[in-house]
Amino acid sequence: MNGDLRSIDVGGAHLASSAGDGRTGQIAIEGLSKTFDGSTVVSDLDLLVRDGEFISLLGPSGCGKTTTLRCIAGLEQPSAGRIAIGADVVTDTRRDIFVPPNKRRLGMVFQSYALWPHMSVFGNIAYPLRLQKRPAGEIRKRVIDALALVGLDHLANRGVSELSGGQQQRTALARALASEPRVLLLDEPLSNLDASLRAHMRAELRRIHREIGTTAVYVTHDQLEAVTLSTRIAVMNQGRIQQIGAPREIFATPASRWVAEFVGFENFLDVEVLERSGDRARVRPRDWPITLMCRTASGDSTLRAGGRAILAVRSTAFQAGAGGDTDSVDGTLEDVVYMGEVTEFTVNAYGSRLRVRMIDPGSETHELEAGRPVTLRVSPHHAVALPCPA
Amino acid sequence: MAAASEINWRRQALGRRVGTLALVLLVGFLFIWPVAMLFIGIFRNAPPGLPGEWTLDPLVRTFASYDTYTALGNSVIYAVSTTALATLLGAAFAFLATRTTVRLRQCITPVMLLVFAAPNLFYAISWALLADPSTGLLNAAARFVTQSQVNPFNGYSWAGLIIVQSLKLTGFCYLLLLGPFEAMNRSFEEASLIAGAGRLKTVLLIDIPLMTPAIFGVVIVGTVFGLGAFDIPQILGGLAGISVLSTEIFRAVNFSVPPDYARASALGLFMVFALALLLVIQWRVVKAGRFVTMTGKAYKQDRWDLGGWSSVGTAAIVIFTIVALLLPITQLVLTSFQPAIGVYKLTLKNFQAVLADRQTVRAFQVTLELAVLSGLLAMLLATWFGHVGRRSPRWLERYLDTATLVPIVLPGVVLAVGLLWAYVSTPGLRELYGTFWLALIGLVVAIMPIASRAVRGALAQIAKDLEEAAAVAGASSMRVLFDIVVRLMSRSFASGWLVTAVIAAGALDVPLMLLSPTQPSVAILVYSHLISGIPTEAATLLVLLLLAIIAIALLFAAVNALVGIARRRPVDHTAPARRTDTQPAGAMVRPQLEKPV
Repeated sequence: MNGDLRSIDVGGAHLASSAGDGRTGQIAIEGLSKTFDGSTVVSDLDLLVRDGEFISLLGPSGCGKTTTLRCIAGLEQPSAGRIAIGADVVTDTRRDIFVPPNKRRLGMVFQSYALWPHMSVFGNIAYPLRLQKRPAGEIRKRVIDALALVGLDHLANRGVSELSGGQQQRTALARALASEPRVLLLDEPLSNLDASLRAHMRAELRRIHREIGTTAVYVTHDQLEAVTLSTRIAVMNQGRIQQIGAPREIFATPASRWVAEFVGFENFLDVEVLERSGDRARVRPRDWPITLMCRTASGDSTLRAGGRAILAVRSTAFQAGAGGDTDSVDGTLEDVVYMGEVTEFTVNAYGSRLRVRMIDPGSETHELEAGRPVTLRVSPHHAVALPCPA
Repeated sequence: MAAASEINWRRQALGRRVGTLALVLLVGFLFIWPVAMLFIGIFRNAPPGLPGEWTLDPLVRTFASYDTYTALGNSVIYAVSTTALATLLGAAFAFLATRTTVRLRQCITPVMLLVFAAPNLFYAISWALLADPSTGLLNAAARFVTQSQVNPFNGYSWAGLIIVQSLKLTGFCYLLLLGPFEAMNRSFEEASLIAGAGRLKTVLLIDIPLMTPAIFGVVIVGTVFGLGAFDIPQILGGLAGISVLSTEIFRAVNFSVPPDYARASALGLFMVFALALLLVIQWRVVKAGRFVTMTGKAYKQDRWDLGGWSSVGTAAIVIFTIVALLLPITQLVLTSFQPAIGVYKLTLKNFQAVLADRQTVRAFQVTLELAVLSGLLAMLLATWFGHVGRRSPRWLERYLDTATLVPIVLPGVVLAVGLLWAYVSTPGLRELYGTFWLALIGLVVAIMPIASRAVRGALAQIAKDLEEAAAVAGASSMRVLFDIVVRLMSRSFASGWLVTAVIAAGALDVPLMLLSPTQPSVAILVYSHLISGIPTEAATLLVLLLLAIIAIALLFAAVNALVGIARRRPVDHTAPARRTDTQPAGAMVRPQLEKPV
């Protein structure tokens, strides 16, 4: 699981040694619920994080993702549920088991970094190791290794308030990793950085996870972070996991209208399913004279020929002009908004209003203005049939 | 391995519950039990610890007594008039200090801090001497100026009582109002000026309505302290024959034979209810959202030039400084060098006499131990409660917070009566009666509200993440407390300790009721010298006590400065998003509700 780690000199050797039986970093959450003052924040949540996996909890604010992370860390006591890290049950409300956070052997990166201002960079990173009563020489080596891993070897003796935002972020990461945690927890770690630094740290996090292979749980509301970093994404809303899967799976075939909206689908049409084969289906939107090809969520068994569904289409799924064997849609332009990088069109097609975005529509679209007829091609890869909400 | 550790964790869960229960009981015993026993005491016809019977007699006796209503009426007059005066003066000076270009405005805050920090006892005694009907400096000056035998000033009177208490209370009201005045959003005023209102109209229509909730809060808190005041009414009012509730309680315990604890309890509980009611009203008003948060960024510090009125403002500052600080200090120091009051010859005899007295040396020891230990214990307890509270369920946090504020509604004499009931009636703790330890406990309880406000302010500046990060890193709750919390709040802790210790050192009421007469503190000794007719030695002792307090405060400031220099760079206490700074000692005396003991 962390093959390339052994080729890394700095910080590699000891970090690899913890990967014993392949289950040490597994997190099993069963029936997790948390209520605050009567309002339910996390509701009967099940999640299995495999050893070495990088999983993101993605959702809007208030969806319960941070609470879930804090339950794993032991910073919150769940109202109900069971959490096991590796072979150890750390929380089981039914059996009254609650392992305090300081006994869970985890690493955590806080949104605010939470670097202790009265300790130097070295002191911050050494603190968890000192609590584990490691010999001084080993602590020194591990701190230096951890600093090298995050690229801060030269700053060990600085005070933390002298660091820039990005350096604080790296220090917090080094502190979380230095003690070889079973699991690395990250709570929106990049949200306090500016845009360019965020992109850079995203790449760094990717590299570091590849090097050390520690199981990581990453809380974010930023889709880009979730997609670029994760092996799997759990999309959360209202305290429940709405969909879990590889980034490509979630973005191509969302499981519900809510997830589709969340990951950026903008057009939703009531459709009738005409035929289905595997993950393909042919559907007819209500009142439309034509039919469209689309994807279906893999493994979804509720879509059957003759049934109803919702067709979700990305605004970028359209191309101008008819052609090829793709389905083409005739409509009338209602509005054109130039937005710089893209141009947004509102198209009335057979009585349905479609939002269409195109990058650099080109010279022939310059003359496009409200009232003109247009023909659009729809890519079946970017249209997906979703089950109707019950 | 997993199974064994699970059993271990279950045992720990049980342990935590037992720990929580122990904490709840400890806090209840320290802060709530005395109030409960005060209530029970009303229905007992014997002093604490003695066999007695249940009876309604004391209650009937107390509330049928003419003295009770006289004292009650006097208390109300006393509290309301002193609060009104002090709030007016405090608000006026806060306005001068924060919003005008009046000269000497920079002196106001230091003067007010000194007025606030000076013990009540200092004001009582120095003004008793200063406005002594025959020998006081003021009357001597009046006689000199008018070249006649008039004695217009008399400290032992209603006027004396009210003026002296108002001066003392002004420091407190000023410090409470300083924050709201400083935080006032200039843009409200600017908008009013642009709308066409003049300066005066802006003050009347914008500033005063905006400040009303803050001023209302100060009035309530001032009234609470006015009602509970003991030192000044006892010393100045005693000779004038004016009794208030607190002196009446003291009399019931110390001058009745046998001591009438039931009457003291009834009067005390009466006060507890009145004060609690006042505070509930204040909290309701503040909570009801009528409190306008006056924050905002002023582009520049635009102070008002009062023009011709500037010199009036400066004169007010000078006069207040003279009346509230210079005159009392002069009189006190002068008296300490006089062979007898009114005799204008200087002598060291008083100092020799006082220092030769072994009881004096012992009293300083007792006072030092009481002050240092009570301050330290109160701060440690407050830190512990605050730390636990932050990581506990809401009910526990609120319980800890509320319980430590209970002493606000317990004036020193009432607290002492409650403690006597609570400890003397508890088997095993009876032995504490009349010992140093019961006085120490009494002072810890009395200064707890100040300690807990100070700690709360300091804790609020430590981002919770910093503690959680340590917990995840493997630190136990105690390690988090000492490695992170105490380290980060060390300066606030030290200044809180200083403030509470200074208050404890100058306290008269609690030690007077709880210490044995054979082992007095300096404050008690000062009081007993005064009432036994040796004011010169009383003044001498008080001068020595003040010198000792000043020396300790200076030592603290020096150490603080050295530590500040030793720290290479300023340290930011919180996560990047939130800014904070360490509190200077002065900031400690500005928590929202404080109780001068």
